[in-house]
Amino acid sequence: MFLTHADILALTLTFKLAATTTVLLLLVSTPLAWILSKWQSRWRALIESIVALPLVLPPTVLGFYLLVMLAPDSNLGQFWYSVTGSHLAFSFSGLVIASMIYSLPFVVQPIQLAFERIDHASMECAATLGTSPWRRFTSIVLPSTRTSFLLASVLGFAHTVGEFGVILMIGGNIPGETQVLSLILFDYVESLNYEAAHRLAATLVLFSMVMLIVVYSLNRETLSAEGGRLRLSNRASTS
Amino acid sequence: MKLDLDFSGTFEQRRCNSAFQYHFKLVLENPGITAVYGGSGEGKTTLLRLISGLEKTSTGKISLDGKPWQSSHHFVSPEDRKLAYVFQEGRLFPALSIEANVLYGLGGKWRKLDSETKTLVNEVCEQLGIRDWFKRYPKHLSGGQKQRVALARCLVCRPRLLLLDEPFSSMDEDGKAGLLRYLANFVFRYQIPCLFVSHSRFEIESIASHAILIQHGRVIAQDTVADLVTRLDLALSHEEQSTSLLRATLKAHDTEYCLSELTLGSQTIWVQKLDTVPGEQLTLRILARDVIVSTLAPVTSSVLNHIEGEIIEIEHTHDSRVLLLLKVDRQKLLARITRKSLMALALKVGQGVYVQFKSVGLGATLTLN
Repeated sequence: MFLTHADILALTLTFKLAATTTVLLLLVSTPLAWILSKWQSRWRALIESIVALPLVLPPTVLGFYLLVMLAPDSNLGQFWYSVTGSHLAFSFSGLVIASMIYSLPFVVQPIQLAFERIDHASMECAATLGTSPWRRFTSIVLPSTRTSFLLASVLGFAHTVGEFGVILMIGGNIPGETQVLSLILFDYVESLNYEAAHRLAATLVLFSMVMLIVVYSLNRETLSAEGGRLRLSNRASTS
Repeated sequence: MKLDLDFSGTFEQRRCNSAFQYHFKLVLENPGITAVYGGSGEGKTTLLRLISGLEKTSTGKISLDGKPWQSSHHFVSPEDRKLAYVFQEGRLFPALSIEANVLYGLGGKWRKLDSETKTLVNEVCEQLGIRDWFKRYPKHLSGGQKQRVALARCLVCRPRLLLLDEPFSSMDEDGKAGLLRYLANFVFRYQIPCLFVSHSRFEIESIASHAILIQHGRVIAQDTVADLVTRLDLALSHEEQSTSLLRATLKAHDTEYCLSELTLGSQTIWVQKLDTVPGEQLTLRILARDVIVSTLAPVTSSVLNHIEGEIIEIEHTHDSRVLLLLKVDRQKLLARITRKSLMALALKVGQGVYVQFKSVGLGATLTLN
């Protein structure tokens, strides 16, 4: 076979990690971005800085603190052990938590920017028509920001796939549990198995390329459509 | 309906970077349409925003029919006030189709509406002429078309109070009269009190029964439109387009000459044949400059109408023209004549005169009280 069993295992694990992280991050980032976009307090700068910190910190620094934080004798580690009966360090759950922190700015920032651009006049108008804040959010905010949500998901996903330094610090390189693509590739290179490294790297390049093409063409359709509606559905209605 | 409000605060104009204090104290008890009239930047829109709850002041008070919307310890948010607000620029939701825009305040889904509401939506959209645009999106519509949709979106909700901020400003004159008439009939049928901000005297005089005048963040006058426009101490009567409004009743049609006979108390006015039924109450709009005053009964003239009136006030100026306020069947009528004619005819307060009109306009035909 083209890829070894270990390669397939690492690939599946990486995508599972990226998908889980992206979904959880969207759930966390949407309210966070909403609060940040509305907040006028001077504390906003502090929270924004904390969110942006993973952008500037070397991944190893982040990884080191995460290792300390997730250790079995830490508060979080003990709490997690008492709730789930397993340890966070060197586990998939630990990786998810680490990835969420590492990729947080890539998801929060596009959404926050989109929320800040929301037309205040439309929101006022919706309120005078008697709609609840939740319906205003789903009917006005979400349709006009869906491009940014797509962008945030792609960035969060891709950034998690490309994660190396943090995972190296806290992952432990356990096949099927924490051995993700970047780690197994590193192993191949270290052991001078360039042929295996090429296969894996090329697969990843190909996959990334396909994913980006799909996203960009989708994005283009969305942007050129009627106020966020896909062009396909509009073409039917105007012809 | 009783709307009782008291707001004071600072009104900031971002455009010209100025600010002034406003103090709106107002009790509105009349049903029907109340016009809010005033120049640009005098605070008309601010008043509507305060009433709707979009603008919040710490000290304001407002209640509708005794139920407080805002008091020192209470604030009802805009979405719970069951009002509707037609914004000047329409404010359609760009991501939604015209149909979804119209149905927005009703929950957004056509199939979830009861049959009565469906009938109402159909009627409103038919009358406002927006039916054919249902599948389009707001960016395909012109400013005037957007305003029609915005009006429909608010009417179908049958709100407890309707706030209209220049809802016809982008529309062309052609279709406007029909829309005004439909709006007036609609709010009368469903007993929806309206506050109607407009720059257009034609719009106000066509459909509003009462008016408040706003100047520099204050209510300077509040009365029926017919009384406000004929008050010589207010700027309204001095505008070039100054008009008086007379209520008349349609008595009969004359099919031979294609005329309709209106009665004004015991007097008669002939106008071009109308398509309304006898017994209907009409509002006549008469421009002050179209009124001709004479001391003798005109016998040979092509002007069809002459009625009798009495001078009750003369405005003396040193200008070329003066304003006369006349009483015609307990109603007030403005006449603008030259000062020279005033002197030549030696007109005095209390004097009886004959009045002729060069033209008569009609407001919305309504069967109000």
